[in-house]
Amino acid sequence: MRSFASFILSLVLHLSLFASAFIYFPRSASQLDGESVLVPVELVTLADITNIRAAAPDPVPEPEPEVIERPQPVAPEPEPEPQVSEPEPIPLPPTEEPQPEPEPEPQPEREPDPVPPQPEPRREPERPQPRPQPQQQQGLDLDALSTLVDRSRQQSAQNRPAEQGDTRQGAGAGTAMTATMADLFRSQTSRCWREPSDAPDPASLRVSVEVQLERDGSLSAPPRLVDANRVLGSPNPYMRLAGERAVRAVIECAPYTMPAGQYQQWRRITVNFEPSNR
Amino acid sequence: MRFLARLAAMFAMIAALAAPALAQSGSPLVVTVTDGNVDPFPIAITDFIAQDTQSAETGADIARVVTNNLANSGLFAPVDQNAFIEDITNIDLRPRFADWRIINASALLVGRVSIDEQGRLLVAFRLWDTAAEQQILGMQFTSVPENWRRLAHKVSDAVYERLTGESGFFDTRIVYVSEGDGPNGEPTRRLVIMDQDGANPSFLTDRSYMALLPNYSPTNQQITYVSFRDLQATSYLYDLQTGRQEALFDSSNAAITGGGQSLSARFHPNGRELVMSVERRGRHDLYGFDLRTRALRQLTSNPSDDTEPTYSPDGRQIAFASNRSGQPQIYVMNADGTDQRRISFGPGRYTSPVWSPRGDLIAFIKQQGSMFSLGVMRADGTGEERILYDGYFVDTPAWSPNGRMLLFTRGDYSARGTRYSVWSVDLGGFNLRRLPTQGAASDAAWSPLLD
Repeated sequence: MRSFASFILSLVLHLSLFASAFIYFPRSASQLDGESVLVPVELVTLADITNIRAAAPDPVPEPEPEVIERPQPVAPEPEPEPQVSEPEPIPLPPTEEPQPEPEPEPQPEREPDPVPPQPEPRREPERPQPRPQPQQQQGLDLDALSTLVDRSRQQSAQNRPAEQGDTRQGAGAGTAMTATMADLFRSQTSRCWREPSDAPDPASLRVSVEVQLERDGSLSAPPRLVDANRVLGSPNPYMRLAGERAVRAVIECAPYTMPAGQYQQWRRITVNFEPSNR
Repeated sequence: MRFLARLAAMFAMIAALAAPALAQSGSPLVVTVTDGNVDPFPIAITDFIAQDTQSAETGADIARVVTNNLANSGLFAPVDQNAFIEDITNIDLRPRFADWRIINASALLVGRVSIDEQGRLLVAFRLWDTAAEQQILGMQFTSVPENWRRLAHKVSDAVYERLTGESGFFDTRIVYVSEGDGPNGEPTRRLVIMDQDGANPSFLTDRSYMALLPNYSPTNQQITYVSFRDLQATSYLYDLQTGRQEALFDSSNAAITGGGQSLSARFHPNGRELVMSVERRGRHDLYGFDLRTRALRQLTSNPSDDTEPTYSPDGRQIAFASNRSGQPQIYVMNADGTDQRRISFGPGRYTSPVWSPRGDLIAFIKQQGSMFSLGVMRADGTGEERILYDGYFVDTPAWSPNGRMLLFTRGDYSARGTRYSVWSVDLGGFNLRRLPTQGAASDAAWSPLLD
């Protein structure tokens, strides 16, 4: 009888021990959840996990002709400052801000204000690109020199079959690697991204930027804001800023360190910037 | 049947044609970035170029004031001028952006000052995005030369607004209570007004009486404050433009007489009405007061004390502190007094609610044990409160006009009694700075943007 009782007791204790393993505390569980976010680390050994398709049907012949043609269009451009997104010296027109209202103490009336026309005459004459001329005159112009260097670097990058050349090695199924590749790029971009976390509703400020990269990780074209009209024309100033900050982040963090072997996978990247409400 | 077959063949052909095209272009890699930084924005600010000898010093002064303003906001990190490579000599030429990117300046502010024929100061500036290599703002201001400081503040506001998306708060004033001792050692409390950055301080009241608890009108240069004369607390309205003062309730106002005292009158967002707590027959209730008709209108009627009312920026609601549930807690009601509901539920005493000009938050002071905290909670009562500062003594929160910073009175223990000073802190609890007041100070109030 005694042994039976102790058997029962033992059984109950064992069962309760077993059962206790099934009890979980939602609080601690959710904490764990929060911590298990994937942390992108930059040390990635890509070679080990490649699932590249063995040398895809050789695409080499195709790119060749284009490579030869490349340099030509680039050469002729003459001006030292090719970025022509906007006219040169812009007159400062917009806000002919009325002078500050008279305060009681400082001094009495200020002359009736908004003097609209006066700035114009002086500034207008400067308008016809004053920039290029002085530059040509100077004997040694570091600015022009540096743009030259930039251009030659660009050209050499293009001579290396950048845009088209290397499907040879890259175009695998690559499914396993795109995740790491994305992490790699993300970890480099987020450094430069100024998060709009202090805006009223950050989660509504999602924007995307299309990026094209050279093989060396530099930008091969200015990044393009997706839906630029909607974003930059938004009545919400925070939205406009979110767009500008996204583009700035991509530019400021270049060049990117990416595995050259998988160039085909990261040649074009769409970066979604998604702030969250905290 | 044949038709179907043909259709199928056509689809097959299209697919065959499309496939290589797709394969060649490849779909772009999609990267989602959810975490960024909130570091201060690096901006290079050059000395404004002077066009003539008269304005030579002004150019550097303006750059200094702008730099100081932006740095103090905590959102900008001005780049040291010693690091500059390019020497800007004409603001109408495109700068060499590479020179500015390499010193990590994300934006570049260049400007020019000149004196025109009529002797007026002309300040023009351009703000460049060094990454996108384009101008993102260009403006100019004019005023009399002595007013250069205000122009510098206006430049700061414009730059701040362009780069943060919210309105600036640099062309503003702050009123505070200067604490001192009179000739016979008696304590004095005088109102002082100064520029937001501490420049141009001047006294508004004299030593003959104590002036406390100023509140700024959100629309014009008026303040209310409480004066203690003959042991009687009275709310005053002070017009800073004309210097005219008037007692809001004197013996002529029948509604208040009979031992009534009024305290802490705050403005309606339209600037023409006040809401205040009035003590009658030993208890405090909330009243609205129309400044033009002088009509007083009771909003709450409650055996407990309802105090420290503050309007929401849309004028539809009022937050206040009440001890109706025991310890003081914060309540919100409609502007006509209906639908009163409690929004603070934490332990401790909740007092001094002040509604943010942005509307979404209410700042408060919480006292728990011997610890005082400055915090903010959502005006709808949801979410958790956020404590921005803890200390020995904290009181009288006041918002910056854009709702980004808070001023508060801070008391620090010392052997010779508590020392009071006014500090600012931003919404994240960062960027704690002492307001540049002269001597001990308390009870600050922030003006709206001037103009």
